[in-house]
Amino acid sequence: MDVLTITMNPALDREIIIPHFQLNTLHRVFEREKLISDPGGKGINVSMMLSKLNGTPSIAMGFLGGYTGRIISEELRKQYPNVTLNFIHIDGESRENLSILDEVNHYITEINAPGPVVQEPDLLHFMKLYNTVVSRTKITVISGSVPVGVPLDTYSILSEKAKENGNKVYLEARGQLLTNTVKKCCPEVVRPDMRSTNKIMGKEVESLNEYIEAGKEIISYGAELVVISYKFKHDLIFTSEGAWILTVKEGELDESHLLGTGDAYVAAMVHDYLTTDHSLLERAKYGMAAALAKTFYLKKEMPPLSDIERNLENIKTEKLD
Amino acid sequence: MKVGDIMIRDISAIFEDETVERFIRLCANHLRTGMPVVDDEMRILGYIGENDVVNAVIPSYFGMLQSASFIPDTNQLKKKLYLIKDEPISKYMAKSVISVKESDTLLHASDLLIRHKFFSLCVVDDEERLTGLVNRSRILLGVLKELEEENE
Repeated sequence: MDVLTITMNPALDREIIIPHFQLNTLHRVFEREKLISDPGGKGINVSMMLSKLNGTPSIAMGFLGGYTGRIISEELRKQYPNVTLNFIHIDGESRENLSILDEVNHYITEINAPGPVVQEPDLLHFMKLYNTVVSRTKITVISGSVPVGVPLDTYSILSEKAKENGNKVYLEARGQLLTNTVKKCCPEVVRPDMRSTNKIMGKEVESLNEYIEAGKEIISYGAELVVISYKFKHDLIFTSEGAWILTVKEGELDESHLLGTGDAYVAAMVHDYLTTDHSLLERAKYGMAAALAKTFYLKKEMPPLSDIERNLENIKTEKLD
Repeated sequence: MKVGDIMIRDISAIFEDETVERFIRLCANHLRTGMPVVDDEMRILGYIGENDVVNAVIPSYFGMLQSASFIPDTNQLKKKLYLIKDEPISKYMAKSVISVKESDTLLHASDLLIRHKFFSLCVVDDEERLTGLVNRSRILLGVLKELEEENE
């Protein structure tokens, strides 16, 4: 088993497709396919996407709680037989994320419920299990937020253990969690999660130069590859050899289709790492092509390999500075 | 069809130095009746089931009785559980565990389940590390699928 994904705060993702969604109105949904319940949380998404992409098996770890937690593990078990589950079932209820997708007006409305509180014995048990698993894998994907009770330096401890065992660490996080992990034990591949923040490493980013400074700062802590999404149609790529800007050549991106693009990005980079000897820039480009291919689908799902290949041609690469 | 085709890839496990109380709580949250006990390389050291704990808190002769109405005093049960709840599960787990490999046939797995009166078996890789579980209903489901395929 090559891949381990960490989702400290998994969720049950419920997507409801409602055209002309309006507040203060009763909406009836007649087709069952427009009410989707899927296991979620960024690490779990990567596991599911890898499984869909070419059946890459992975181990998924984290905490699940209560009734919602049991639905998450049951759905994973049913739909993704090559994802090995290694979750600790704790007191409390796992999160539930509700998204209302309106394809007509291109709106996405999201409601995220809080997760359970992790107690110390659960965290200790997790750490011990993590140590036994990480010695068997090649890549550790650490992604998303942490629930209450999990200290902000946890990701850096996980990153350190993974590296000690010869794993490449892929991190997608935001805020203090990102800053702490980068500073204390910088993962090899870092993708700041920009979905609900305009800060990277504690600093606000607005201009291209501010973004470039932030990317270079993460590289200076030892990352091999940093990928930052920039104004929708671009991605900024940083390695020790320089910085690049990748741009979508043609076509408009549909904002209501952005769900899961970041996870498709990471899953594609992991797949590329396991199956090719591409350069870091090519790997990032492959990730972006997957994210781009994902935007042609409304739901959170992995685009097929042929779509990713096709979208590679729709990306323009320019070197910065 | 092989064990690997129908197994449940869940490697939830417990370590031998965890307490009886921890085991009870994990089982309750996970709706499990028992858990494999592993070392720090995921090799199976034993298996602890809820029966192992029940047998430890009630006098052994109760197993021979048809009804629990003979229990003289429920406080006795409370007291006993209080005494053992902080003890390591290694004291109560079954140390000899029968496991199967993913490449084993369903027939082999069912034979072991029937002969040893187990409800589930641990599945291990070539280095004896836990990779999942297989139980009676999954085997029956596998056999049903084989039947369907034959009839097609």
